[in-house]
Amino acid sequence: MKKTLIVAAACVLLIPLYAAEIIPVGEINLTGGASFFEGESSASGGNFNIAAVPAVKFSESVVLLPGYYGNYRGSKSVYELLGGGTLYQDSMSHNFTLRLVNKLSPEHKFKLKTGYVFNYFRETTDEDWGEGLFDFEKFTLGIENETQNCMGMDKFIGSFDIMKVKFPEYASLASALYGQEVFPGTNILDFSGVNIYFRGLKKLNPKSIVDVNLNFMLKDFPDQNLIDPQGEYTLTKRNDRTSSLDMVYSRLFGSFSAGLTLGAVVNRSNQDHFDAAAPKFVDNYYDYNSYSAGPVVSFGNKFQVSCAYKYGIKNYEGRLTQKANSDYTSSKVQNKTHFVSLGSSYRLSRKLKAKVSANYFTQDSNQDYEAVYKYNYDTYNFDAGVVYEF
Amino acid sequence: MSAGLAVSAFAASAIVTDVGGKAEYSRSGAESVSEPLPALWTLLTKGLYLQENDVIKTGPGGKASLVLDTGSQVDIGPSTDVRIAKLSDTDTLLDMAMGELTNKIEKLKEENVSFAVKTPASVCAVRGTKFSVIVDKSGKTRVNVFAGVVSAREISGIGEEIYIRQNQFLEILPGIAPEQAADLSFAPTAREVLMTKAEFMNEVRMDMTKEQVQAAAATEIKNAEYEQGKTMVDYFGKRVRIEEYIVRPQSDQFKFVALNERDNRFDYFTWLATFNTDLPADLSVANQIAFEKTDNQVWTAAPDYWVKQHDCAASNTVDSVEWTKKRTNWDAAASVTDWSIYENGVERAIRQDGATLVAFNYTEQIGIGGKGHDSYTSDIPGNYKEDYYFIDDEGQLATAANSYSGYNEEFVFSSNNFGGVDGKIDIVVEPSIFEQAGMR
Repeated sequence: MKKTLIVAAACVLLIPLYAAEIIPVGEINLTGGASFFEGESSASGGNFNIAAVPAVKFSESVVLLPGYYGNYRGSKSVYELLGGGTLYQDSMSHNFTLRLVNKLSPEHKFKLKTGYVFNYFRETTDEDWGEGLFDFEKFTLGIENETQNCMGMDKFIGSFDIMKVKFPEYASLASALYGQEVFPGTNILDFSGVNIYFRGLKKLNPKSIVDVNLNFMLKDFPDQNLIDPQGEYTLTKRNDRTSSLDMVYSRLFGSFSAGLTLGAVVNRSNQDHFDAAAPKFVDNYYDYNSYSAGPVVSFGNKFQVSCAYKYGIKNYEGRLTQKANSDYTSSKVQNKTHFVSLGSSYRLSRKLKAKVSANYFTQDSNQDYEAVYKYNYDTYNFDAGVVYEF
Repeated sequence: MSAGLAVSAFAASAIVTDVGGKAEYSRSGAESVSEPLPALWTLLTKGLYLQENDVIKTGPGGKASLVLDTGSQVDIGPSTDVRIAKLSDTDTLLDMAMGELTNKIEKLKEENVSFAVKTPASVCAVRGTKFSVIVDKSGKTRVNVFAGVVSAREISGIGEEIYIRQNQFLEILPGIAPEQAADLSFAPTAREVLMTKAEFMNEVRMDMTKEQVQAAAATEIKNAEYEQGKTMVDYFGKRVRIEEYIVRPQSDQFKFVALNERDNRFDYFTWLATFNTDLPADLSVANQIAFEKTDNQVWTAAPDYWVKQHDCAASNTVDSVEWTKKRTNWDAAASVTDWSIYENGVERAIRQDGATLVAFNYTEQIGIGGKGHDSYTSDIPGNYKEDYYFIDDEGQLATAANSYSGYNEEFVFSSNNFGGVDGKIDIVVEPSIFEQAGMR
């Protein structure tokens, strides 16, 4: 009887699908490359990602977009090599989403979205998929509103997401193996959060456009206790607040476009840090302000070339610098970065494009203590491959 | 014939073959459809001949059909503003500000004959085809091709020229490079609300952008663990997780706890320091005074803080090594008073209450191979041995002996009698801890 009910329910659920039109949409990227850290080859390998969204069209205004985004990285990007990052071998992610889009009018779309993503990292040769210490999973549920000619913008998007992130392989050693005297919490990296996002596109004139993104993220750590100045743990839980603003201005000069990117991030946390080996209490350890800016240029039609440069500076509000011998100073950590990117693509056919890219990243810091993490380094990587759109 | 409306018998023309609803035209010579001069607007009538620079406007329910000298037919839809920008034997150009045009163009046999439709976003050139062009208030242009091929490009030239084939359509936005044409099969007629393949891809890209932002938050949490030294590679190439804590069992004590975990083992080190007096809230104040002298050195005057006793223990949870170092007074050197090795839980006391219970010899090697590896081998039963490695976060040895600033210290206590994993206790900590704990 139960089986019959299940089958009947499945048929009822499937009827709308049979009544709908399904349109395949997506793209596949296949590249290979190599990465280098401080002049030494860090890893070479293939990279693959796929975005497949078989759009299910129920009517001319309602579309369901179930999506799968898969990604495998065998060679590391410059951002994966932050601080050294030689622990990285390869990584992959699987993202399943469901988006319902209702086009209420030519100028107004309303969307509901949910998704679950699995991220896996193999960081040492004896780690296998699914056993990575920093593997994490994320669940998201959200709504989004997209309107033309709103808030002074040609297109304005506002969204609200709730999310839950967990690191299934990570538990504090103190709770798992030494729960006698110290109580930092067990799943200390897990957090739940709210993400509020706004985006506006404005055409300033027929040849220039500005794209502004504003993002607010509030994170609560239900199982991470705050540390006090004596180095002991309280029952108050950690929470972080991150605000970011990105703006891209681009202008056309025939088939050549040039633009400027600007970015700013402000991060605040109620968690501090206690260096037990020193011993030293560092308050506002996670708080920082960062800024970035740089030009971007692209040109070409069938054969396109783009290059970008970005300068960034990150100032920590409370994190103190240390000398090479680990002694603390009174200065605050400041990191300066340079990022250069070159890319080129050539359209081989209507759906197939070849591409090649090279990226260089360098960081210069006033932090001299690098026994556990690199603050001053340069790294670069390059990739070549194809993109197929369907 | 009305003045101003005469048509030369020799100029190319378009004849109005059908009119519906409100449709009118002007022959004011306006340069742009969007900036009509205060001209004479006259109702469009069937049979009327139109010429170059005439502007046609239809109301919300209006429509009109034109036939050109070439035999091509242009249907003008409702709410349309269009100017006949060029009309000759060889070239036809319609300049549309907004609205809808459906064009059935006779095959252009001559190479130098052209038909094009210009909108705020695009220019579409055709060669024998049936197609429609729709422009909305923002200038967004949609071209549907029902027969033949139409080429279209963005008005300022950005991006590629796109060929729109039969049963395909393309949307062009001003200032944005057009993407590929998509199949017309799932798209309704112009005026209906529709979802295009390009819009689907926009949704996909929006998804991926926001996903990257949220994933970056998780990555930052992970990077913070690396920055605090909570995970690194040891001398043997294995990942080791490190956690270090301070507890205060009593007012005159602090206890340092270091926990190490590798794939197949867990080791820990504890160091309990008992001071001569109650400790302040800021431990660094007391430590700065207490550890300015090594265990072999003494003060010339009584310091505010000094360590009376160190109690240390290192363990792999099966075996352990424990020792006590005492200083009887601030003007006396410290010495090891107790030292026991626990092999599988069974104690082998080497030193107790200051007396040696098991005599042994040991061999010391400092800076083996000119690098940061010191070793002490002994003849204690089980060939008990201590190795000290000074390593960076990738497990690489310091390249000079006795110069360990900026490195981590990994100590390995091993014995043939140990029952724990690999017969050793293996701990990584900050080197200053060992100095302060009296291990050097």
